[in-house]
Amino acid sequence: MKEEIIERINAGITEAGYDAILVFGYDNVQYLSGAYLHFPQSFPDRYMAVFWPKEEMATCVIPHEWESSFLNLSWINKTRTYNEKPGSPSGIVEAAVYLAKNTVRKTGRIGIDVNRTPLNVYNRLKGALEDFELAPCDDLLRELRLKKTQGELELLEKVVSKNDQAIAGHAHHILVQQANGEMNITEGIRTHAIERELDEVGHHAIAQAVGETNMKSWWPRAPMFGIGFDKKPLRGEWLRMELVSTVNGYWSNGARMLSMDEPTDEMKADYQNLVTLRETARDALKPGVKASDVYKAVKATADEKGIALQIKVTLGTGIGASNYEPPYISEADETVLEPGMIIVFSPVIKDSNDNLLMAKDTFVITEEGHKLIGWWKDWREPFIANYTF
Amino acid sequence: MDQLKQKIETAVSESQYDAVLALGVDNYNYLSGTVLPFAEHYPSRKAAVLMPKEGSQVVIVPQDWSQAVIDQGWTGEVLIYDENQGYETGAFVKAMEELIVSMGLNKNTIGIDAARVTKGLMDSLSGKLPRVLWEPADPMIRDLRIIKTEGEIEFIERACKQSDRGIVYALMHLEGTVDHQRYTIAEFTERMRVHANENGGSGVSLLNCGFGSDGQIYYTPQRGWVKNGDIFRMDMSSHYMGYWTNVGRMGVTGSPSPEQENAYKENLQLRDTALEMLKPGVACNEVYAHVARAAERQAIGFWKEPGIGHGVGASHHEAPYLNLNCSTEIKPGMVLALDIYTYGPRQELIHNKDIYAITEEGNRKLSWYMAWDKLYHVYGMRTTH
Repeated sequence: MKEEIIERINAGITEAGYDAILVFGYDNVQYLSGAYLHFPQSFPDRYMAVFWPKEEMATCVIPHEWESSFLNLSWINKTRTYNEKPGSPSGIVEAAVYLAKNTVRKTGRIGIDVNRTPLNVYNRLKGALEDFELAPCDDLLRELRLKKTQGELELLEKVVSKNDQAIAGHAHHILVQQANGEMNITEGIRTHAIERELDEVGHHAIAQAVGETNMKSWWPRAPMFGIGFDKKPLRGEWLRMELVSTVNGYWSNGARMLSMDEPTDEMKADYQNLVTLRETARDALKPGVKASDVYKAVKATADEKGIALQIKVTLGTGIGASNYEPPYISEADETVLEPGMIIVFSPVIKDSNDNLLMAKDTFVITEEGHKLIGWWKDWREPFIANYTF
Repeated sequence: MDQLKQKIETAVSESQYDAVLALGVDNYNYLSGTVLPFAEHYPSRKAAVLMPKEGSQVVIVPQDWSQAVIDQGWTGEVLIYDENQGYETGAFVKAMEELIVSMGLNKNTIGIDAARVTKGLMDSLSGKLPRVLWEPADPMIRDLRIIKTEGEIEFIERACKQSDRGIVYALMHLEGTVDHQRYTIAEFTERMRVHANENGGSGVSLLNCGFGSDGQIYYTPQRGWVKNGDIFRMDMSSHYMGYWTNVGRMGVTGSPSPEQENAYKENLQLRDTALEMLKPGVACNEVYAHVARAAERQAIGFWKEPGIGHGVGASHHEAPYLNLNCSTEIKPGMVLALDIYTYGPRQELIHNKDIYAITEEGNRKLSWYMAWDKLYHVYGMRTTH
């Protein structure tokens, strides 16, 4: 994976005409360096960047405290630490400017991920690098990350499969007669994730089990997200099981529905709506189709069949070095699908009781169309909890 | 938290801005009093709070985050934007444009958190709203956040207790298992997290256990098994209703060696040295220098580059900073994590990270649940009960 990504980055920098790129976004830094640190994004007052000159070795600019952790995990083996100054990015800017001035010719073109770089950092850089041309490189990074390498796809398939297995792994423990509450089930999903060597550190590496009537909300019990109420799911009710997890910073995002005992006819019909939307998406998910056309096809099916699809959110996103990235199954995304892209299709519908039902299925776009990955079981029907006694 | 709400509204009304717009996740949480679900992990999704001098305050959020904001008692307006109306931040910008025009602020001065908003998003907003004068509001927000109200300190104190109990409860599960049942480090770490939640915590972010040689650096992925004879570090940041603590604790599996015990004692010596200076009227870098001098004088190995602490509040790492460069004067109402790294016998990083509120008289420890005045010994035989 390392060699493929490094080769791509070097080629991308050259083809896009940059003399170097300077990247601040935590997700972009992880992609470029291969180092998954789960915490930089929760330190908004600390900065970290990768400086990657054309056809040369990259350097990571990083606070002292994180340096050894980074070197332990990254394929980049050059770092430059800086003195942190309160409320000011001057330390990292000085370090980045040093690298730029010693590596890039005067008037050279340096790409910056402006969609991640804080304005105050950018303005200082601009002032300090006035002889250089600073140009956005977000499109380059987007293109690099959008189509996965074979190594990335193999890792993602592993993560997605384990994620689904972890959800189902705990679902097996849920018995109608002896059901535990949402809190306990939530933790059970996490435990099954850890048992499968999924990494569950990090603020948003979460599980969530939500039963009726809490299912009317995406995030019940705010702000105690992913903790759950003590509500025990009852016979004839739905339980929504969600899990966001990672291996080495490559993410999966799953959600499955569990029926407490055999679903009623009404529940079967509601679940079939999720299946119908997935089948519609499957018909559209292939090379040459625009992401927005997938959205439109799914929405048209929902309209035609009277399915209460939630349409103010995207119907799916890519995964990779983050769990929410391009392409988006959105009316606004004109990306033409290509082999190597990976998409979590994630429609949310309301049933007649206003419960939000979800299913998240992951597809890799292939030359022939797509490949559905990670199904631990056949999800054309929900997980059905046994009654027992 | 009414005192805080009043404090913020007074600051906005007395500012030179016609409105303040906060996009940073921490600033959003602070100003709105609501916590978003993991927003810092979604850099292409935006949420913001707009606080005008006159008129209703508004939060601007994606649909799936909106109910959570309302459920936390937000009394202003909620503007949900349709993410299908623009690519990435495009839909957010469109919603902001319509909102600012509808509020008659499109020819006014708006303070914005320039240390959080990205260059790309700022360009988009400026392009759509060319007559707005955007001014950095970071100093104002920093000054507000750096001095906590009583309500904020109470929330942080609760978070400290939840965190410490989370760690101690996990340790209790570990006892009696090291040589027998055995725990993986990942499971032990997860137990810290879940016990913080069981004790009422609202969420956990930073989570790390460094056993043995893994503890020589700040963070390593949570892999492998707990084994006997290791000194280990347990780090966790967690919040209660959006107010964060950030603690670090030390333990040892089995009986500690004299070298391990002595290393921990040295760390506490430097902590006590720092506490002498943690009081109003002292500059942050003076506290740092005091500790650095003491370490040199007593020949205690001390990792000085990271500094010796930082503020906590609406985030787990914020101003002021106890390092060489921060000359901020310590004042009552500040809350600081005191974090001094020294070294163990095998160069393991040792710290005992506590949280202190600055009072008129000096300081008050908020992370008081356990003294942590010696290494926590994990030992015992497995039994059933």
